[in-house]
Amino acid sequence: MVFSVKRLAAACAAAALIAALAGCGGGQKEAPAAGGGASGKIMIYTSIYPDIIDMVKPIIKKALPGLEVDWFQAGTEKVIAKMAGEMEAKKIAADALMVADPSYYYTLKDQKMLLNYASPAAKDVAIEKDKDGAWTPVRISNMIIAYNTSKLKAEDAPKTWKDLTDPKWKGKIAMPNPLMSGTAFVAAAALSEKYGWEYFDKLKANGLRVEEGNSAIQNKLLTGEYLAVMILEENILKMIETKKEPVKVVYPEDGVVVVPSPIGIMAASKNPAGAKAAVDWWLSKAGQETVVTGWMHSVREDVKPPNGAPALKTFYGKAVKTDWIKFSKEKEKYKEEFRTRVIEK
Amino acid sequence: MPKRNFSLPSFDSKTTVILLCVALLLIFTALPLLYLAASSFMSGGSFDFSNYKDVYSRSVNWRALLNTLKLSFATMVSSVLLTFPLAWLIGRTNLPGRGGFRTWLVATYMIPPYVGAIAWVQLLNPSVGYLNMVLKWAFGLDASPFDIYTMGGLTWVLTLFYSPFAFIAISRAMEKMDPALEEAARIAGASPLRTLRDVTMPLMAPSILAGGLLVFISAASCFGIPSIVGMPSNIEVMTTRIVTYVYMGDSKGIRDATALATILMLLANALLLAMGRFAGQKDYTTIGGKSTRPNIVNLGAWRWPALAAVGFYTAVAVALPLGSILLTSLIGTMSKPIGLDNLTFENWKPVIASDQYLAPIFNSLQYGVAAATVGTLLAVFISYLLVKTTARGRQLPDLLVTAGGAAPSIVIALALIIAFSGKFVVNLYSTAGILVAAYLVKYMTMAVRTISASLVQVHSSLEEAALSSGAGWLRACRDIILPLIAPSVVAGWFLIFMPSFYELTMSILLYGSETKTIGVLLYELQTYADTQNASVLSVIILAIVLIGNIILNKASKGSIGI
Repeated sequence: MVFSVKRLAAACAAAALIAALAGCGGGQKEAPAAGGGASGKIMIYTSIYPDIIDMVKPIIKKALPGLEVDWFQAGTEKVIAKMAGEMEAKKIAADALMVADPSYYYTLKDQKMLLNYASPAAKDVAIEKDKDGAWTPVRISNMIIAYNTSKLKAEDAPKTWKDLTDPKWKGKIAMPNPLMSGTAFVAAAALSEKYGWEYFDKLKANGLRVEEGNSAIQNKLLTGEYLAVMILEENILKMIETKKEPVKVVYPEDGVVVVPSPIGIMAASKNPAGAKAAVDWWLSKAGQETVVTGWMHSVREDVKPPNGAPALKTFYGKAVKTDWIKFSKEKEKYKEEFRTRVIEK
Repeated sequence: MPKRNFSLPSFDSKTTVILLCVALLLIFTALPLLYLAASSFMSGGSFDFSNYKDVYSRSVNWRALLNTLKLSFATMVSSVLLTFPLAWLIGRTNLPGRGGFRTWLVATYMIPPYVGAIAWVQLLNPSVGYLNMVLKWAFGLDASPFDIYTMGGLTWVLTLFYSPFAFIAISRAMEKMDPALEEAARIAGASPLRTLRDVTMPLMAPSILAGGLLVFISAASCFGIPSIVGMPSNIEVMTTRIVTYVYMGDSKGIRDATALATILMLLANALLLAMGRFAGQKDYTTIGGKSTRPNIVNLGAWRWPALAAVGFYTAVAVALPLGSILLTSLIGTMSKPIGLDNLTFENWKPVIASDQYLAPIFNSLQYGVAAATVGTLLAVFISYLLVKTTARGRQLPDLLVTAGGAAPSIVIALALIIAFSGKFVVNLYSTAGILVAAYLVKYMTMAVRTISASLVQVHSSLEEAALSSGAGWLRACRDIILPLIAPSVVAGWFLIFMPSFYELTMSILLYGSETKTIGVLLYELQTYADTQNASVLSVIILAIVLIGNIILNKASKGSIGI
């Protein structure tokens, strides 16, 4: 046992060495960018997918050579749960927070947990941001409808959220659980405001299945267990581009649920200068281009949309209305209402 | 020689060791959990029951509690009913291929439950489940014969994943049983079956209870399977309710969650006490001073039907989901039917090629070994305290351990975050220590149940003989007690190691940048990549564990390993 552990350790060390060498080779070619004066260490809690973080790591290192950036990545609700635990312990380890539930930032701002920072880059952010600079949108995810093209013709696919109540989808529709997933919460709250809870009653009557998260929905859309689903745009775009799967996004005519995910600096941060530099970078053109490679939309107008997607402005105007303050204040009420109407038998 | 009887060095080492164990337990289990439980009685800085009123005035929480009880009970009963005959056939008869079956039956325990649950959903979902489609085609049915999205489906998956607890506990005890009693029954003219019913089964009662209880507690505190199988079918259980409260994201949510979790922990302990009382009424001691190996029952003509039955169960319970996972890892696209043209190693490439996978595997191995080793040591002493002493409060450590095992993972994780972020002197946050502590709190109960059940069978006369011959207590433990209970110690070690190795729910909240584990990686693959990459990692996890098991087994000439 000891022997094999040692071997594994040696293998690990070798792998780490190779990785380090490879990393150095790339890094030495270019001089560090000017203006990266930030130093020390920061910790960012985020729900951005890990492959994007891996991609960002070397780029941000080059842009801010003096700054060591650590990441904690998990789903939005898990990050929020961790934050809640740390708040109980009165020891918040995060310097900056970028999760996918805008209403949470209103809650944090109310509790004076966010640092007001007007980033110089924020002037290029084309959508609504906090006037005090407590948070700024950094990426845009969209809740859309997706369908499986090998099972369904384009003309038969649902065009609107309302179409999902059509009996022809009975038992073949699904959405992620708003009690477990941040973006699903936003979608449920926004659609209930637009169409009333009766809309979800009808979906329920039409056999709507509620799954834990977006990835479960994605897999069951591929296998054909579901024909049309409510899901995040980025999951579907990625499936199409990387795996050539037969799935397609429908941007509902009655409005996409646009979720602009903010970045904010924690008031308790021990390295606010470092966190500010990171925020500036994320909002810069370079930062936004990495966002787009992750199949999310940029908050800047000078950055092209993700591969396979139309420009944000083609659907942003008629997006489903989102009252973030109300969502923030009545989070429990929305979740409970959804639960009693849809989940409870 | 008589002098030694009056000096009490053995008593001292015994007290010290046991006190040390209790102290560790108090710090790492009692403190965080009690602090969290106590905070469920606080609202706005004062003591009251408002959280409980709030939580328990909602019918949904009562229904969730009822569902949890129903599911766990059904799972416990079906697990014992399934595994007792299996353990007997494999451990005590001349069934062909017994050793192989043992490994395979325990193998389901090596599959992370959430991965296995996904496999079963793929097999048995009513619209496009593989198995349903095969059965429809084979028997010309109009509708799918099975629907996984039901209470029955949920019980089935829970049983498959948690019955190995019962199997391990029961079969270990069966092999350490004093054969003289059975021989006596046979000599007196009882048939093998009658001997089984009247002698073997009653002797096995503590182990059956221990195994069953483990199954009950694990099923009640499981989140992965109910979330994957139960959620689409709108079946809510305690753990999904608790997670819902935690995900409200504020301190009220945490308190409400704790108000629910506290009841779950109390329930498990009440059950344990009740069973302990029941089992405690009889003297089950069976390993005497002159134990030999238990005899093997000759099945005669029944060998082949028995083989067919065991083989069929193994195929359905183990080979099918394992095959489904392996196949999923090799399928080119999930959107096309399975066929030779749709098989590829594409999904394996990113997993194997990336060196980011090695570090988490190594981390998890380390933490799993650490948790299993510390946990087993503690478990031995806790079991000894519980079973072999009359000290007052000897049940306390066992109760703490059980409370930890019954606590939902997410509650343990939060309790540890709150307790060990420096609030109470110790700061373990984002270290490997907090992960190991979490695994210990959650999984030690498995080792304690298994070890104490087999310790009950060891007669005190053996230890007394060693002590009166001049051996110290630690020496008596090492030379007499440990060898006698060795199989259950090894089983206990594995029971902690395995779930710690691929643990997900707690690790995801507790890991730091240097301490990423394989469970976290699996979660990442599952959410940002897809099920296929996650299947690849599951296959790798399984391979590591199976190979490790084989090596251990070979190196120890069959005495270590599952």
